[in-house]
Amino acid sequence: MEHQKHFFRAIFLLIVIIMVYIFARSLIFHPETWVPEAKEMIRSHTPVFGNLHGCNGCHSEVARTRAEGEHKGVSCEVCHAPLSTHAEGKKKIAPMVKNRSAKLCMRCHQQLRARPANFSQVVVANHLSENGIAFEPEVCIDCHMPHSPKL
Amino acid sequence: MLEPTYYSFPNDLHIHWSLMIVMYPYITGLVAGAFIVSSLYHVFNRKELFPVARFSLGASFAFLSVATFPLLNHLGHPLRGPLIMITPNFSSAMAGFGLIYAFYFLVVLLEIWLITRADIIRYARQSRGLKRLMYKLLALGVYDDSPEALEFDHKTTKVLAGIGIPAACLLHGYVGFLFGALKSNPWWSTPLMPIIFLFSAMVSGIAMIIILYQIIMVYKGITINSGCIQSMCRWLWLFMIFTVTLEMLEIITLAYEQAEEWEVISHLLTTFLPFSFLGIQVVFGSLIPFILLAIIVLMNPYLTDRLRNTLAFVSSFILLIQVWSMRWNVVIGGQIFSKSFRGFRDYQPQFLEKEGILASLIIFALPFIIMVIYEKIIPSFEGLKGREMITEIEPTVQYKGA
Amino acid sequence: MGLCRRDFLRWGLMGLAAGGMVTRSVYPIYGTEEEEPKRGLEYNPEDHYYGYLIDTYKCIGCGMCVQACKMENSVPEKFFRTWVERYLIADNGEDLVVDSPHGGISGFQPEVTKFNITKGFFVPKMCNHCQNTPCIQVCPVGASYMTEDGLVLVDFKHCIGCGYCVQACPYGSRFMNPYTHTADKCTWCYHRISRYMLPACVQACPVKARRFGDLKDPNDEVRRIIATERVGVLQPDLLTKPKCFYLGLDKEVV
Repeated sequence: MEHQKHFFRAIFLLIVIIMVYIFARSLIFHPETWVPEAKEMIRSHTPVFGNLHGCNGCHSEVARTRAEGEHKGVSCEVCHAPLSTHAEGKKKIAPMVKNRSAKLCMRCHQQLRARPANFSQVVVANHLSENGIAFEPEVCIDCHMPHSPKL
Repeated sequence: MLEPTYYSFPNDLHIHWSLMIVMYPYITGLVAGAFIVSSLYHVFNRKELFPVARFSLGASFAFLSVATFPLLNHLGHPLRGPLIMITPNFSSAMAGFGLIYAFYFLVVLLEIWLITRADIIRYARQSRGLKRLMYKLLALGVYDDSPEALEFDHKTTKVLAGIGIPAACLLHGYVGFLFGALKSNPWWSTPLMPIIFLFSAMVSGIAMIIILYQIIMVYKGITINSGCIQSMCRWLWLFMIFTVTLEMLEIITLAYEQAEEWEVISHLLTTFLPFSFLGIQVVFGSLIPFILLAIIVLMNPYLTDRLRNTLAFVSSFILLIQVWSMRWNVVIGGQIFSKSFRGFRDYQPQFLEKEGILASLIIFALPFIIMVIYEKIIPSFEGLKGREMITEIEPTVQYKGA
Repeated sequence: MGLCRRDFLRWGLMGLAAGGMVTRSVYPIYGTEEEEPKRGLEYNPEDHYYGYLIDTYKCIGCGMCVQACKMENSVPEKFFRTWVERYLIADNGEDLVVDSPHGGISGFQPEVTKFNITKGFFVPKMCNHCQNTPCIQVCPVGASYMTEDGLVLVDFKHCIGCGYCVQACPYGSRFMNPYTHTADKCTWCYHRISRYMLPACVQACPVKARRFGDLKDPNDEVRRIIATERVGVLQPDLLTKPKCFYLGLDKEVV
């Protein structure tokens, strides 16, 4: 044993390093709290979009029109903008965006081969020429009311 | 007009694992390969490898020291990198890295220490001042170089080298596993991947030692030991044949099975990797060194030393390129096609970007700088000076007590 | 109105309850003082286990879901937590076009192809929140985790940004966020559903092609459909057990 002193010294050094590592690790890191904290971080985000009830609070009239029309399944915020850009609590903070563009309508109603055949869709040029109307950027809402689009 | 072409998932537009992840298995492979060279001497008693046994351990250490650098440079949060070792998630192949790397580092350090301890003590006795302090610290303050102590060191070295071989295989096999165990990617997902990585690691390690040994010998003005070169070339040839066979087997199996992934992989090979895979890895990188090494191995008696050294140098150099291109083809090739198996993307490393060519060159230069410093502190070739025509050296010359 | 009213009522009212409770000071708009919470005050993750149902027969490819997701979660440009793919297929077994311009965030343009399209459809894609997930398995530091309610989420504070999970996900649902330098992915709007609101994409869908449900709730519509109808999942051969179920998957969809 007397000639293995150097080796035991190396082993001792190694054990000290491992002990320091374990000690420092338990002192500094608490991984068991990480996942709950991370979950809380994601949950604490404030929603940008509200929901229907948020809109109904002030706009019950329009909400009723919408609920009775063809667009009953379309959430208000889809065509307008997220609720949080418009209201904070019951207080209006900015005017709601009104996108009157035909492009918005065409996103859903432009005829595409990949769309379900029974979904109401038109080739815009044909639809307009059949009715003798010239194309304008906001042409759709001249005849169709967005909240209840059936003529 | 919509072309019936290539659709990539919208999140798949860039290659995320860049040049750094090519360098990472390459350097790790050099670690494992260099260690195998020294183990061939220490464990398997290939006495003809004596001239490089000690140096290859130092080289292994130098590459090992920087093996994590490419990975760290690639991380989105390099400062969080140590978390791999501090809070590993053991279901992850990458987390095993922390343990294996630390364990292997320990084995290499201990082995180097035990082998060079006699010299360290001698230097400590000969020098004074700060230098003496440094050597004293390296010797851990114990100046016991009695024959019994050295005999103990010698035996322990053998055990450590024996542990080191599976550890080296694990370290590099794990790198292959990292890719091979991803079921989402058909180019990577094969059980052959760790084995291919392992054999190509040995190829690159031996090739690197052949090159460095020759350069250092020429620089130091020592005659290159032809028996040593001859032996390394034989091992290199063997491992190279294994590597190329496995690499080809993988492709041929895929092609023959006509599995669904072959469609995307054949497109990958013919359109995106014809140069780096077929050109560099298969033809230039495998065929030429195969022939050159065959000449060395089969026509040994007819070769002059000079010719043998030149052939060995050239074929080693080509094999280093081959192994690098194999890493490139695996890492980058596996990301060229989108997970949709319909779309492809291309990757051109930039020179100056964070994970670009310059960064790779710097990282790759580091181990050589470490080697120079290492050789300054604990020279590996000192015992060879003046004894130029060494054909068979008894290890006892070096290890006094053994 | 049937289903959609039911959905809205249930989720909306729950939204009132929890939203009013959790963030009353900021968002009383989800509920007023007079309205009584319909459910217990606290959100208990162990009471829920969510599933997602995508009906490809209904999807019209408007891309409103992609847009809503971007706004709700501030998803970086050029990356997508959800996207919509369009498949156009000819009957000759060869011609096929798949596209998803900017993830479909602005909808799709009329298709002009060199071949005669015999079938076409849209497929919305997102994180499948697999039960046997490859991404959590490979994370070296455990920064990807599964919640009790079955969501696969990322711990942004401890993700080291190695990108291994991005490689491991067979669906391309994960990406490296260029601002946080961590992995990022769909959370099924965890901040919304834990307030008993619907995920933004589900709420934005005008045709109810996307539906979200609680598989632990015996009266849940999504649960009923998954149990009684022929639903598929993406790349079932990988055995990741996705919790996004599809109605009307085609063999060409990966």
